[in-house]
Amino acid sequence: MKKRINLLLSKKKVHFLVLYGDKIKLLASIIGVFCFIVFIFLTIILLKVKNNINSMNDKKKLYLAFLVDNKDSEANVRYFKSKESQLTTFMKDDANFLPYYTILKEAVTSSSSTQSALLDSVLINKLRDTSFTVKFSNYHNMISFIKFIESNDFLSKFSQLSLANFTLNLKTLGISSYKYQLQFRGRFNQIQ
Amino acid sequence: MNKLKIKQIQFFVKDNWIILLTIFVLFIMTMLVNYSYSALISARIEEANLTSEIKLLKNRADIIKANSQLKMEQITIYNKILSALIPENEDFFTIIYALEKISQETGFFISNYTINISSTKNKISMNVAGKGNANTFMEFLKNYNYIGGRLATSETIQFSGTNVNTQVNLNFYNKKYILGQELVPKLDLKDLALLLEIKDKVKINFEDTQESLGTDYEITDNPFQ
Repeated sequence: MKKRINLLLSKKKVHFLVLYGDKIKLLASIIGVFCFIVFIFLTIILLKVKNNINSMNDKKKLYLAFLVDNKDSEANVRYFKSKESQLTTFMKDDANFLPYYTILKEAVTSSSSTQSALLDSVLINKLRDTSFTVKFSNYHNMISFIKFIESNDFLSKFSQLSLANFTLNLKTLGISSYKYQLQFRGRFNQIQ
Repeated sequence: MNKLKIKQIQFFVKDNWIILLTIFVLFIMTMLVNYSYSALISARIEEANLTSEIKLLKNRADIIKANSQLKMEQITIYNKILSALIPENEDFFTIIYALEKISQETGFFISNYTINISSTKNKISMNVAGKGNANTFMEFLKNYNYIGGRLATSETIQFSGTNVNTQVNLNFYNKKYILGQELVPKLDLKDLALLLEIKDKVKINFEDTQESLGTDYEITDNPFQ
């Protein structure tokens, strides 16, 4: 028998595939099966997600239709809230004088008779800083007023309060003249 | 030479077609996995975006449903009041009208007013001089915020029970409404109670004054006739 040599074939290349051909097939098959399983798994999840996206799109359309139908009321509410918030912000500039003035007025009237004590001048600013002057025609009324303003009930209305000035006017004439004058400075607590 | 190469390839393919097919199939499978993975990732992103979008839309819809329990006509009237109190653009005539209205309604006679240089684009600050007795000044203090139809605030008030010829600093405001991207706010009864209180104080007629203009007048083509 004659030996034939196939000179067309490259020995080295064929040799590699002949040697590892089976192993390559096995490995490729395992990887291929694994890839197929992964592909099936991914496709199932993808289909579920797509389904979910479709139902969500339907939901979105419903909500958008509802919002379009109610856009006027939504715009009204937005405008209302915006302007209301502007109003609340701007109202912080206001001294809100009257309720604080009422506290002082009541303090003067409840501590002494109306004729013998007078809330002469009151200044209140937007930070609730206050300065007020009370005049008295007699010493006893002034003392009872001081006792009243030292009570916890009255002081609870202030974060700080101090007597800034005391004036004794000796030149006053007649019963109705106010001889004693107390000037206070302080800051009110915020009225709820 | 070319023929020799083709022959070589043919032998190679003939001997190893199974391996080559396996590698080809593996390549296809890898491509498919890669494709489906990418598709899944983009679908997940789309799903997440839609979820947050629907959440926002649902919130908006829920709030509209909750707000719809309140009377929309009421909100419309309140909006008219609010836009009169804080107009979009400054209008000095309404300030002058507001001062006259305050004077008229409270009995506290406003005799003079000057605009302060501290005024800003959104806040007109004025010194107002007024005359009256203690009662009219108290009426003024009770009502000056809203009664003129423009929001008025006073940063500092000095009141002397004996001297009522006094000066008060009043601020008037304007501000544009800017549509925000934020969620529609939910209204509660507290919001409406405040406005109800203001509505009682504001004395403006909000009836529709836009009457149709009559067209039964003579029309001429020549304006100089």
